[in-house]
Amino acid sequence: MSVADEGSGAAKLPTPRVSMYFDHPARQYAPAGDLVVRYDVEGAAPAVVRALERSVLWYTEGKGEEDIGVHHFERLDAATDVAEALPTGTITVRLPASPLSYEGIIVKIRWCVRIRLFFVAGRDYVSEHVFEVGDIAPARGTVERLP
Amino acid sequence: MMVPVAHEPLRNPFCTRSIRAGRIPSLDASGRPVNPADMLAALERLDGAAALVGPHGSGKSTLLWHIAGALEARGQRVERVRLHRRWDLVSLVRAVVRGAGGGTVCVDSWERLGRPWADAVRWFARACGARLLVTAHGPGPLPTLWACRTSPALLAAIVAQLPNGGGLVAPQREQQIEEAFRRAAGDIREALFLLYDRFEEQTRARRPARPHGT
Amino acid sequence: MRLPRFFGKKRGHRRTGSQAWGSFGEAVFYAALVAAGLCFAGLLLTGAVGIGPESTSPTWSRGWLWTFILLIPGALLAFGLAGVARTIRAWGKSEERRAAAEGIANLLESMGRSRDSDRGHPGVPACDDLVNSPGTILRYRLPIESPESWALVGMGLFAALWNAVLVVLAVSAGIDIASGRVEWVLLAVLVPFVAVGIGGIVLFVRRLVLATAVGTTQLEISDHPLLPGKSYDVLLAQGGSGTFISIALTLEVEELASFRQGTDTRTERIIVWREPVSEWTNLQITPGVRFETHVTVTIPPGAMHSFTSEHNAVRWRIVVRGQPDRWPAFERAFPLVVYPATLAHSASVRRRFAVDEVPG
Repeated sequence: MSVADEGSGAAKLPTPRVSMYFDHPARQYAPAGDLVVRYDVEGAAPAVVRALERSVLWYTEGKGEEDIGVHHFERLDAATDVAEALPTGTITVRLPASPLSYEGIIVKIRWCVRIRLFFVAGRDYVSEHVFEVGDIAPARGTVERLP
Repeated sequence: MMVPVAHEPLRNPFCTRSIRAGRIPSLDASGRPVNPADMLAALERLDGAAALVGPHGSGKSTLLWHIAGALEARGQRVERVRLHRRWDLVSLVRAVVRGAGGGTVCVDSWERLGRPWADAVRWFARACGARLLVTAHGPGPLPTLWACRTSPALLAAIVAQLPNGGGLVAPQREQQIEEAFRRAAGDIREALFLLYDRFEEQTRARRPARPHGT
Repeated sequence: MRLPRFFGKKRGHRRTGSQAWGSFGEAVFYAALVAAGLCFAGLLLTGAVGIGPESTSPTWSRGWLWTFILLIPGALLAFGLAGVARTIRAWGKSEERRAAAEGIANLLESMGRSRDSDRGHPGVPACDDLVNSPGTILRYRLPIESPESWALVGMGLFAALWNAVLVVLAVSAGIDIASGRVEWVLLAVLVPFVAVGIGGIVLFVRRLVLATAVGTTQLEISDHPLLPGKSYDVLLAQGGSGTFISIALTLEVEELASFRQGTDTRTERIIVWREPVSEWTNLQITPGVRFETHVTVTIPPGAMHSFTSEHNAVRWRIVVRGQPDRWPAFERAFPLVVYPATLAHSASVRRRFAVDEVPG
């Protein structure tokens, strides 16, 4: 199942579709625990992909600028590596102890797995799949606004 | 066990990811899309150097990045620079060098340069053959390409294009938009932030409280 | 080898084409700076421009001039080499790749990363500054987050500078009058200047008296950093004299988000959680004898940890709010750092994720 796909590309080229399968129910992981995720890429044959980037990262969301912290990153440039990583691959990574996923009011922290495909034609395509680290209760509401 | 669960967090449609320049369409005060082709033609008539003017939150940056995108779609070179500090002058000079020979340098917050530096960069861009398109709060030495104005209709049109229509539903929708526009004194960005707060309040009210959470 | 495309397309925030030609132009620009620096340095060292060590100028001036002139090619070389390196590093890289390589270093630096982060808590601010002051009774004395003192210093500086200018103008006007000339324009300007000067002094003195008369507030804590689900002993010590109608101690969580777009920069701070810890009423404090009391502060088990990134933060703090009898109310905040509960720390986390063993 493909979730949160963000496709872009020139006309006449098919938009890829990335499905992500997480090994934990409800995509919820313990801090410092292991994440195993399998992905399936449809509509992007290895021959048309120049490079593939697989990353696990957190980013902030809310009323502030978006900050990003990359926990795991790998770039596959070699044709043999790309052929091995497509159409199916697995990412296994030990998550850090922080930051934990957080549903605040003006600051939210989200963890995600991103697959970025760089096509021979020059364009790139990114697919993002959110999961949770930890079990932090959401903020209940605004108590007071500070000047 | 691999679990193929469709899982998307409940996103506030007014978060910066959704409303930042480049993500929302560029519209005029009546809420109709601005045609970038008209802008580009006008830019040519103005000798390749012009300003988009308007007060805070009137859509200058959005329009600037929209025009930049239109230029890129035409296969032209575009350099984007945001001026926050004096030191960003270096980035601007770099951008002019990269845009030399027919490229367009899009500069957000042009006024932060100060007049002498702005004149120097303008001269340098002309010497390099780079076009200059900037945002400013008011008319200045650069000819005005477009004066950005706001209205409740513009805010309504922007909200309609956010994810899930901003989560606002009739019949309160129009009233909420009018109220946000009025409270923000016409500043669209501020109005969108007010609607962000409103969305959060409504979401929290529906969510069951947990005993020990913050 | 595939040549970079000259033109590219872009949709939304994603770049879909090559910017390699732009990067190439940028690299050429920086390389030109390096070349200019090398040429200039070469001309200087060979004496071709006549300011070299063999110049006929006096020795002392030659030395200084030589050093000063060398700064120019030095700056060109430094700027050019840094630019070339940056261009090469950023060439054709995605957002994640840049963050993973060079950007992450800046990001972590901005987070105030220290040994704490190195121990495996990325995104959690360092608490080195919070644990470098031992307490008299409990383990650590907490530093005060003190906009009060900065406001005092700022007000003092303003009053001093303004009145210094005022004295110069007044002396000038006095000399004029003594010599029989009356500069009416200068005198007219002096009137509002004097009013502002007196106002500045009054505000400064009032704030100074307030800061000293109310007395200092000190907090000590039994351990730091804090962990969700754990309780800590806190010592509150309030100095000063006279009657306090009330002193209240609360535990708070604050969210901070900075947004920068175009000409607009805004920072928003909100309190998202506030828990009263304790409150004392009708306290009589005698000079030289502090009011001291112990309380227990508990961090809720499911609480968010402290977090800091470049534009966003979640902050914990203990706040002391006091209402003296004859003075305005005051508020003093003491920042805390709360670590996330990990499997090693919390049995509830282990239960939640059904984990028996703590991963090594």
